[in-house]
Parts: sequence; C-alpha cells; structure tokens
Amino acid sequence: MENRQSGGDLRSKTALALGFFTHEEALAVEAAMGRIFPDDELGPGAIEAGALCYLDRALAGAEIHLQGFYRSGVRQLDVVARTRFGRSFAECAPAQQDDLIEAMARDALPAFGKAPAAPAFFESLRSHTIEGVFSDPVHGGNRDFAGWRLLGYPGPQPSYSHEEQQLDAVIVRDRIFTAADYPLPSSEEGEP
Amino acid sequence: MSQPRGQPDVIVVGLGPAGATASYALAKAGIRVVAIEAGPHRKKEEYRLDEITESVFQRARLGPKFNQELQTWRRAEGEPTGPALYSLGKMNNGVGGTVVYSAWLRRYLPGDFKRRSDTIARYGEDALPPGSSVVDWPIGYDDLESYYTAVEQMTGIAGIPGNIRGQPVKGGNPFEGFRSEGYPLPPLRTAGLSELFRQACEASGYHPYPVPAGINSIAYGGRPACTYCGYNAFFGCHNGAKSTVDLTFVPKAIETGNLEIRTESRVLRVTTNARGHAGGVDYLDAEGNLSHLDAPIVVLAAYTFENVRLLLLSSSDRFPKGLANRHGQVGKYFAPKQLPRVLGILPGRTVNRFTGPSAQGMLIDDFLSDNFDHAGLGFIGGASLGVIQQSQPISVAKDTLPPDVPSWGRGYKEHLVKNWNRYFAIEAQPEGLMYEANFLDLDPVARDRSGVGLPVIRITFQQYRNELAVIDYVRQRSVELLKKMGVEKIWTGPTLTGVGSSHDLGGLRMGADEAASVVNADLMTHEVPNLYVMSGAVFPSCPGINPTLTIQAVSWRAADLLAREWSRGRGL
Repeated sequence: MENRQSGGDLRSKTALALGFFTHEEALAVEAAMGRIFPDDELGPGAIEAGALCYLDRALAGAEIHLQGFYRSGVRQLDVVARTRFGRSFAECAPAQQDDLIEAMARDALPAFGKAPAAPAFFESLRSHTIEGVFSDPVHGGNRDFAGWRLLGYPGPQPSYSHEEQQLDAVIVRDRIFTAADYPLPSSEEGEP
Repeated sequence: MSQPRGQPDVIVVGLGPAGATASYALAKAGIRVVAIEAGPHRKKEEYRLDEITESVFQRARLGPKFNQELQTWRRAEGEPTGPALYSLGKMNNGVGGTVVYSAWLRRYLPGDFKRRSDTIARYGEDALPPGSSVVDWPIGYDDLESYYTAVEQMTGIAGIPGNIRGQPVKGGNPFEGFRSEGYPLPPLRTAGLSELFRQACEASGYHPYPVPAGINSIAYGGRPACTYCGYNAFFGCHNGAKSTVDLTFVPKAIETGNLEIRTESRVLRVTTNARGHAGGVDYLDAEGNLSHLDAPIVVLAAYTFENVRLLLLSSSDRFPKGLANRHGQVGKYFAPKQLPRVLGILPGRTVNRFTGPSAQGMLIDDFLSDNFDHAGLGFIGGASLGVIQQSQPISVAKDTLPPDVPSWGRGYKEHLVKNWNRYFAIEAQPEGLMYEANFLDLDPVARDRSGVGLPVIRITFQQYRNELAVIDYVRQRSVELLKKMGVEKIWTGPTLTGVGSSHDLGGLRMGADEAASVVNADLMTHEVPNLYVMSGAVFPSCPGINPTLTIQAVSWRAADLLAREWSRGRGL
C-alpha cells in the first residue's frame, strides 16, 4: 500500500472529480488525512471514507474562502518535508509523515512559515478530516457510511422509542438514513 | 414591493422571539405592525438533518446575515483584536429567529431580579466583586409572572412545574417562584442517562427536575408530538414539534390582519425627525434596493449585537455618539454566557445520547443563583447543572478529549470508536456578572462582508475572578455527581467557551437611572421617546438560566404597555 511511485495515484478514487486541488496537492492532503485518521484493525480511515473528496468539494464551494489557505498550507507542508526528509510529504514514509504532523501541531516547524501558521493548518486539516469521515455522505465523504458504521451511528433516523433511550439499549435499524431521505421543498435548490 | 399598505403604526426590526411576541401583542390590540426581517420565512421542510450545513459550529446556514457580520473580540482595551470565539453563538436570520435553539424555556428565579439588594442584605456590600456592576432589575418577578404564564401556554411547554399557586409539585423545581399555572404539557420522556443523574442527585439531597422544554411531548397547538429524532439544538425542527415563534406567535399575529412581514430586508439605521424622535428606518429590501419606511414607533428586536450596532450606526449631527447614547451607555455591561462542562466515561455502558433532543434532560438548581449559602465561599452566584440527550458524530468527534488521548492518529480513533457512546457531560450554565470593562462598540477597522460594508461589533470581554470561582465550584460539584453516577474517567472542557454564546445579554440595559442605563423598565429608550428595544440586550444581569422565555415575557409586557399608551392616543 505504501510502495507508490513518485507522484503516484490517489487512493481515494476521486482523481477525476477534483474540483479544487491539483493532483499533487491532493496526494499530500490525502496522505495527511490518512495519518490523522488512519485505516487500522478498528476499521477504515479517512482515505477509505473519502475525506479528500469532502474537502475538495468544500473548497470548490461552501468553503471557497479557504482556497488560498490550503494552497499555501500544502505548499509549506511539502517545503518542510523536502527540507527534513528530502522528498514531498506524500512520498515520505508514514513515520516521517507522523513526525511532520506532530511538529506542525506543536508549532515546531520554523520553516513552515506564517500564512497559514502550522498549528492553524493542522487544526484545519484535522477538522476537515473529521468532517470528511463523519459528515452526511451527501457532502462527498463518509463513503458507504464508513464513518458512521465505525461508530454504529444509524444516521438521522426519523424516531427512537423510549426503550431505545435507556442505558445499554441496543438500537437496530434496517438501514442507515441520510439527509437525502428528507426531501426538500421543490422550490428550493438542493446543495450541489 | 417596498410600498407599504399605508403607514404602519409600529415598525418591528427582527422577527425572532422578542419581535414576534411583541408583534402579536401589538397586532392583537389593533395596532398595525410592519416587521422587517433580515432572513427568509422558511418552511419546516427546509430544515435539514445535516450537521455540516446547519450547525453553528459548521456552516450555520440559517444565519447568512450574521455570518457576514461576525463580531471581533479583544480581552481588554489596549489588547489586540481578533476573531470572536463562539460556543453556541452564531445566530439565525429568518422569521422565528432562533429556530435552532434547544428550547429550554425556564423562568428566571425571583432572586435573579434583585441580585444587588439580596446580596447586600445577606452578605454585605463587600461581597460585590470589584469592577462589577451588579444591579437590581427595575421590574421584578411578580411583574412578569402573568407574562411568563402566557408565553408558556402559547408556546406549549412540556415539564413539571415547581408549584401551582404556591403548592409544591413533586418532581418540579422547588426553587421556582410562584406560578399561577402549571405547564400545558407533561414532561418529555426521561432518558436513561437522565434517570441515572436523577438518582445521583436525589442520593445527594438535591432537587432534580426535567428540563422545561418548548417541545411537544404530546400534540399541541395543531402541531405533532416530538419523535425524538435527536436533531434539536443547532437544527430547525423538520416536523414542527419544536415550538419556535414562527409556528406559534407569528401565525396568530398574522391572523389579526395587522401584521405585515417584509422578509430578506436588512435595516441599516433608525432615522430621526426634526423633533429628535425616531422617524422610521432605512433598509435594503429583498431586491437590494435602499428603501425607507416611516412609523410613529420603532421597536428594535434584533439580536443583542445587532441592536447595539443599529443604535451606534444611527448617529447623526444631533446624535453624534449614536441614538440613545447621550450618556455613553450603549454597549456597556455586556455578558455572554459561558457553558463549561465536566465530561466522563461510563465504563462498560452505552448512553445512547444520539437519541432524543437536547431539551430532553435533567437539571438541578441547587447550586444556582443564591439557592445555597455563599458565606465564606468568596463568590456570588452559581450555575444550574444537568445532563442532556443529543449527540451527532461531528460534534462528538470534535469534543474536548481526555488529557491522555491524542488529538489525531490511532489513539484518537481508538478513543472515539470505543467511547463515543459511553461518555457524556454535566453541563453547567453559570451566572455571569456584568462589568464596567466588558462592553460592545463598533470595530474601528473591521467591516461586514455583506456588500454594505458597515462596521461590525467589537466585543471587549474577559472573565473575572468571581465567574472563575463559580465555575471552579460547580465543577467540583459535577465531579462528585459524576462519581456517584459510576463514571470512572473525568475531564473538563474549557473555562472560556465563547464571547458569542446565543445567551449574550446586556449592552442596552434597562434601569430607572438615565445616566446608567439605555432603556426604562418599559423598554423605551430614555433619550428617544418613541424608540423601544425588546431584546436580551436590555437585561441588566446574566442569570444561569436560558434567557428566551424571559426575553419574551419582558417584550410582551412592554408591548402591552405600549398598546395601552397607544390606545390613549399617545405617539401621533
């Protein structure tokens, strides 16, 4: 899984759909998301959940104001990766990526620069990773309900019984609901 | 579009709980009201069960105007200004105002209206913290009791009253003031977590009661009962079981034939006439055209920040410091609510908080206000403590972590997967005193991003020793209760949760002294006799209780008094 070639392919299967990131940027962001919320024996991680797709779509639309922030942040992340390990962030080994993320969070990367500052970029990446895993699938992440299944969250169900609200009650549902199960009035446009 | 059907008698700016309650009271009295509302009139089907689009900690879709006018914040004069920090505090624009509220609709306690005199009588003048401005309200609980009852009946509140005409009711809040009537609806169900909390409280000698909720426990007012879907706070209710004023007061006001609503219309300033009275408002209509509307009475009923902002933006040669600001009181004594929490994990159990609304919870007032003896404690005031339902995956994943859990990577993921349905919090709502040094004014630099480009509100706020001591004290009580509930691992959330909390009070406080307040007890500005403010901005204190019910009660009372004056021929 880690023996990709330089440049490499995205693991998120979103390459054709990229609306904001360049392929190179997407590689770095995807790699960082995969370390922030990794695939492990507990279940799928951010890459498998399609968090990159969520963020790319957000930056192309509702969070368009963060485009510059991400463009600079990803560039700076690659700069510090090359300085410290001699290769792009996406090409670093997982342990090296962890080092860089940890240093970014602690504001211990003097070469990172200030626009954005490393901790702010880390916080934003972390937030968007979480959102990409746990938001409603209508936004491009949480693919096949990967995030919700990990928790056992059944989505926005229409109702729960009093018995199901008790401690230790086991809640079983035929299917997971999403926001799309609640149709909007026809006069209003849905979100893209 | 901007042509009125004849001149209105009253312009109401903002159709949230304050404006809708006032509009109803005025319209019912035969007064012609035009309400100018910055947001749309949404249908309940437009509310989405989607954390990303709706919730205030994500995109806060329901507050487009608010989001374009975000406040700035500095801790004290002379310190650097940056972005404001919000807990629950991003507000909505639209008919109904705070349609995303939790609908905790509790009355203030009688003592909350006379904190100054009660404190001095019980603990002496030295108990008032330095720099604070602790005052009595110019009205008391008894002035509001009938209005509290009227709002409760109209809204349809579900709960157990503390008393009915002075007779205590088992399971209600014994600290409540005299009630002329109980609640119209039985309480919401008791969830398992609430039951566990109740047992721990009773074992400690405290007095738990279910959250009085503006949510239909049974069908009421032509609206269905709650289905316990769990999308309450941060969300509009998609089936109409949550009682928001767009479903209660507004339709009743429209029925009178005396209320016209202009939606998507943004008031820019209050204009004044040659007599120095309010003449009307300038606003941008739904097409973005600058329009003007005249009326003999203007009521500002927007959110706290916007009411202060509109008065300051309405400056003129005659009112160089802004309207109603002759004594420099506009913006003074601002207090946002802090929402500190103590969290814990119930080992081996599941709590199922994702079922049910956040108004489904259990509370105690034993450590609120002056319900306990403060002698020797070194602070005044307190907090209500409680547990609530409702959790969604993103709010859980972004919640405060135990100190030994990393914020990312395998350790983070493991904590989340293992504990997301085992942890909960005791939520505190502390009282916050008002201080000379905590205030609102116009930011000298920052401008709104709406295209209008007017200054935004700058918040100057920090916590002082008294409030920190309250939080510390109730955290200790929370830890004791958590342990009684069987919690093993305990950690605390932040002490400063935000300067925008959705319970942001003061700034235009009411009082008898013209030099120390902005409006009188009837919510008319001291300086401009036909200009009223109906809003949490007029509150001269910030009790540890959700403010909406009291905002509605004081607005209804003021609108009734205004209607009475009007019928006597005043104002024209």
